[in-house]
Amino acid sequence: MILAIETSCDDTCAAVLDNGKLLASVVSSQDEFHARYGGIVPEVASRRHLELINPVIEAALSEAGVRPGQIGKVAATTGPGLIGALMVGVATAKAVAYAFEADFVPVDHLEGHIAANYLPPEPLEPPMICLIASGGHTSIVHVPERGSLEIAGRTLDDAAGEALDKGARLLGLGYPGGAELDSLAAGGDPDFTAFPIGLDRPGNLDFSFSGVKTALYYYLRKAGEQQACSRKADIAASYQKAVVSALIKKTISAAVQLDCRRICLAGGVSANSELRRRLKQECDRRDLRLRIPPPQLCTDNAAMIASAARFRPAIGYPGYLTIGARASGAFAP
Amino acid sequence: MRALAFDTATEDLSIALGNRQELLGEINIKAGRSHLELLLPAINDLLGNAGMTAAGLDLICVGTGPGTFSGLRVGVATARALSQSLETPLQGQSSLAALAEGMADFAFGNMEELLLPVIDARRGQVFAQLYRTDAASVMAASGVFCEAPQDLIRKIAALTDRPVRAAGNGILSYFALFDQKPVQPLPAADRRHKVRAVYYLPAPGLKMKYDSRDLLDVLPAYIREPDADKTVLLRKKGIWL
Ligand SMILES: [Zn+2]
Repeated sequence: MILAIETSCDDTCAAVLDNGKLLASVVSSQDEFHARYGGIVPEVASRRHLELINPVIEAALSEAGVRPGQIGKVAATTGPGLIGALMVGVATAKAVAYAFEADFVPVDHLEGHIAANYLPPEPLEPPMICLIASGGHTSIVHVPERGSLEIAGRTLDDAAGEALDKGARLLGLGYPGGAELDSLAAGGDPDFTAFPIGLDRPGNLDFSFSGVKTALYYYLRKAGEQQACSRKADIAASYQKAVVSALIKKTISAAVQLDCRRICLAGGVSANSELRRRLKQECDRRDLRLRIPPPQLCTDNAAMIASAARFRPAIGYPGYLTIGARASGAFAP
Repeated sequence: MRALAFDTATEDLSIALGNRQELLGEINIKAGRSHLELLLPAINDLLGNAGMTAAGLDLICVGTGPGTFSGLRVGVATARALSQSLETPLQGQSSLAALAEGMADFAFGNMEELLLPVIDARRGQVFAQLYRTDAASVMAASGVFCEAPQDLIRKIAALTDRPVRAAGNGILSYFALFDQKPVQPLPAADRRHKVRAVYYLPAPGLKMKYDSRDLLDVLPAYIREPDADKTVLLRKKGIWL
């Protein structure tokens, strides 16, 4: 039985997984705190994690109906993420493992997102291509087998969710902006105007979203307030189309280049309706299998960390006592 | 009564085991910014040397600062998680009070003298608090200050004309500034500039019961608000992360 903890950004999460069966997954969002500042303040996030982590663990354990003695492994996200936030989760998880005399499993956050696909319903087995797109990261990862990963492409500047949120902000939408942009775009014409797709060359699997954001900025400046207001939905739809097209094009070409028939999504941008709809079409057309985890497994959660921990070697006592957290870095070996 | 006490408010890490009458062990190490990597191994060593496991503890005491935010959070998170998992009572205690107690000379008590523990708050500021002593204990005689050293000295001088003995890493960071009346810093080499967790250890007769709600109140004494302007992430998250 695995107890997992995730505190890499601004959601405080704990989950209990028993042999692939998810017994509890608790997420305490801090959105309301950060909305006040219009973004995430790392120090505020760290303070809230410390307040919330113990009640969240207690809720997960009681929801799962397990006794502490049944926990054989404690897993935690050790990076990448906000360092102060990660430290709260790692300090907590190590102390819990020590108290329960359990093993410890350090988990990479991105690997966690991928491992959300190994959870029910409809778990997907490698080999597969995983598009991880969120406010913090955007990568195409080739997963030849469980526990092994190769990054096929990554963003060179902004993350996709960041691009969507910044677009929303330029259009005067609230925080969080990405979801609002999505619903506004649903009523607009995606072909109203064309925004550029970054690094749009055959064979290139990397992303760049800084250009599309700049293009929107200058478009709005040139269009003037009146036109921008009356065609807001159309502009939103066209902007979103450019971001989503980049994600779809490159994911499909990765599948073709690497000769892989299975595609899955991870990260919060998987909730974007345009991405889901068009990627499904593209996959159906090419007879590729697509799996999109349920929304609660796409955004940050600890169930995915527990799922990844099943396929990572556990570190026993006393080896894990000295483990720390790291803000950045590629996949943990 | 066997308590485990630790403090992570400064670059030094201090851990103690036992009670006021029987000290089973103490570890003081220079941790820098590596509290997360060093705290649990040191706790494990201390318990191991005493032939104990964490399950045998009657109480956990943790320094709640004020001090370095991330260091404090490592200490408090570790303490809360141990308390919750072992169902052991938890107490949060002031790191400034521990410093003051280390400075107090009860045997030759000079009741006239005030004590001023000072902890570096970074960004050109220090945390400090005035304490007075009687024959056996120290008592806070002011609220917690968070000031630039010069401002602190001015405020202390306005408050009292009694001699004020001062110590702590905040004094060491600004030694020349503090060496003026009415403040009398301990010599720079004095070990009483360091917070020691032994001063958190309880009387041998203390009895406490575990209640899961109590640990929620044990949080760092941040004193200073988060600096939102400087630290807002440009990378906005929305629902996407
Ligand atoms: Zn994430």
